[in-house]
Amino acid sequence: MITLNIKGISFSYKTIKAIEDITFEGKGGEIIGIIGPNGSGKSTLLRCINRNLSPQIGTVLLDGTDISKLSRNNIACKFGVVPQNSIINLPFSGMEIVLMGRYPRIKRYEYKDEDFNIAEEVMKVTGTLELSNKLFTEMSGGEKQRLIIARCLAQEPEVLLLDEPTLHLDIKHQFEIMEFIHHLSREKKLLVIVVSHDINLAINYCDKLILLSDGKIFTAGNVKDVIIPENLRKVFHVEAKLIKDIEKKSFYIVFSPLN
Amino acid sequence: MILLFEGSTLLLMMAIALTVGPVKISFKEIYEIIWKIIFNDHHIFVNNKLFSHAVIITQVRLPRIILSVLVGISLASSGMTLQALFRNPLASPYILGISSGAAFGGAFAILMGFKKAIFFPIFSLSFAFFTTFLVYKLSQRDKTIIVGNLLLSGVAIAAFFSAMLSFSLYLAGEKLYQIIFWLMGGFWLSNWNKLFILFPMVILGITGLFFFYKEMNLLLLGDRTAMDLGVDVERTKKILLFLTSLLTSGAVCMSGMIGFVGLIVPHMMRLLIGPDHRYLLPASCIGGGLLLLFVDTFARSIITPVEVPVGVFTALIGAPFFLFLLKQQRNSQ
Repeated sequence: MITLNIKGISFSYKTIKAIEDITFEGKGGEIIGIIGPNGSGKSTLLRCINRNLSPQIGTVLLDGTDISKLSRNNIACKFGVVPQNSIINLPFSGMEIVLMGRYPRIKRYEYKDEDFNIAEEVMKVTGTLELSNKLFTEMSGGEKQRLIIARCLAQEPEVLLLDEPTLHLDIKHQFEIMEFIHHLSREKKLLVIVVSHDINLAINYCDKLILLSDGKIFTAGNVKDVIIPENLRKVFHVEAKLIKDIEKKSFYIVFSPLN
Repeated sequence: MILLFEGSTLLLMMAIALTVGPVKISFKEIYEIIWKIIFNDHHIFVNNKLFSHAVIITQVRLPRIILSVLVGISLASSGMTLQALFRNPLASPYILGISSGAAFGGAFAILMGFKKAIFFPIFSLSFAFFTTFLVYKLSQRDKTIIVGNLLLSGVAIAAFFSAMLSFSLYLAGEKLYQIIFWLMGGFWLSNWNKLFILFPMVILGITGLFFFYKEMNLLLLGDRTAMDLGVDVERTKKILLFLTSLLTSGAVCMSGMIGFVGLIVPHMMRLLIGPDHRYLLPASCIGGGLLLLFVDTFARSIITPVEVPVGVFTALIGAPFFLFLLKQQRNSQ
């Protein structure tokens, strides 16, 4: 099982500090949620994990190896990323997009049967097999998102980084995607790190939460310890009320403006 | 399938082009000449008429045909690469001012009076590379390319190098004729020596591009995604910029400024066979060769024995096409 150690990473865009001294760890089979208000550094943190941005201070260790020592291609074999929005205005077919996920694992361009099999399999599990021949430019938001997740899985990553995977989806598809991700992390022992705006979705599906505020970790840990109305009030500047759902043995949060 | 069709069309077109010219030479005769040359059959020198025809074929028409195909290949493939790099169908070596940079470099070499032919492409290449890099740097803000900036910096740089070119023409004195003749964009000065310089440049450039078609596909998805899928974006971009400079300057050195081939061809091929560079690259190469060969054959036969510069024709087709693309892109935004 893989382990990921984030040790004291900081990143600034030129002079503006985006994240500061972030430390946490995760292991395969876990879902870690990153929550926080706009501009708190959620996406930046996510991008620093696979060195899409190179943090100026700190290290990211995957199974004890400093990933700054790995080539981009090797990193792409370990980390799969689903970005916030994928703007592709070229008529690639669904299959072609998913096969691009195989790029880090093939030498030049020669796909083997194995690559097609894997692409087909990940399309099956994401329910995108019928999109094989559909052009990306003609897909709906939900179809695109599921297809990008399929491409990401075709990379056969050990860590899955998701930036607001449910942003453009309706409620049914939001649950579908999250259920699916949950299932994946358990089944394939993937470490999933997901940035989300939707606190209730995060409560439902994450094992651990990291609450960011102004680029620093405000608090982190088990969902129950992080989601405390007091914390949310301080970070989001809204009134938060915790409501227990006895039937499902879970809870959710209702927000209202600060008085 | 389309590739096969395109390839055979190109070969057929080359064969037809051999017969076109002020002197009428039939297919059968050409066949005979080529046959005899291949098998080193010296009977060719006995027949006087056949001998003169053989000279026309091997020393005039054949190098010209091959040259126009090679230049078409270079321009179309570098246009395609720039379009992937800038993620914009409007990019092409001519529009981004790279051709102008290469042209000035060449003129500069002539002006400085370098006698050796090899200096010509070297100067041209270094200026082309410099221009490409400059346009690339100028057109991006916070690591994203802005279309307006891209086109405007291309225009500004083209204008700058045109001015430098005019200035060097002013200084050229007796070399004036040599520079102008070259710049107008044509294949009338084709010979085997030129081919020997261009050929390795094209081979190197195209082979290089073939190694990067995976990366080019990923660059189409955006720099960030390309990075997430294992591309060393900065390094790849530099290499691709170098390869396009190499191909563009090779083409410019041999045939002056021929615009719009790099714009039209990749776009048409994308419509025909889709955006996957695995197929798009060979298709664009063949398409570019085909287009320039066709235009050149047309240009040298329409008002015989006068020749219209090829650049004139490509601009006549290309400029309206460019405006059409621009309008389309506006609509989609």
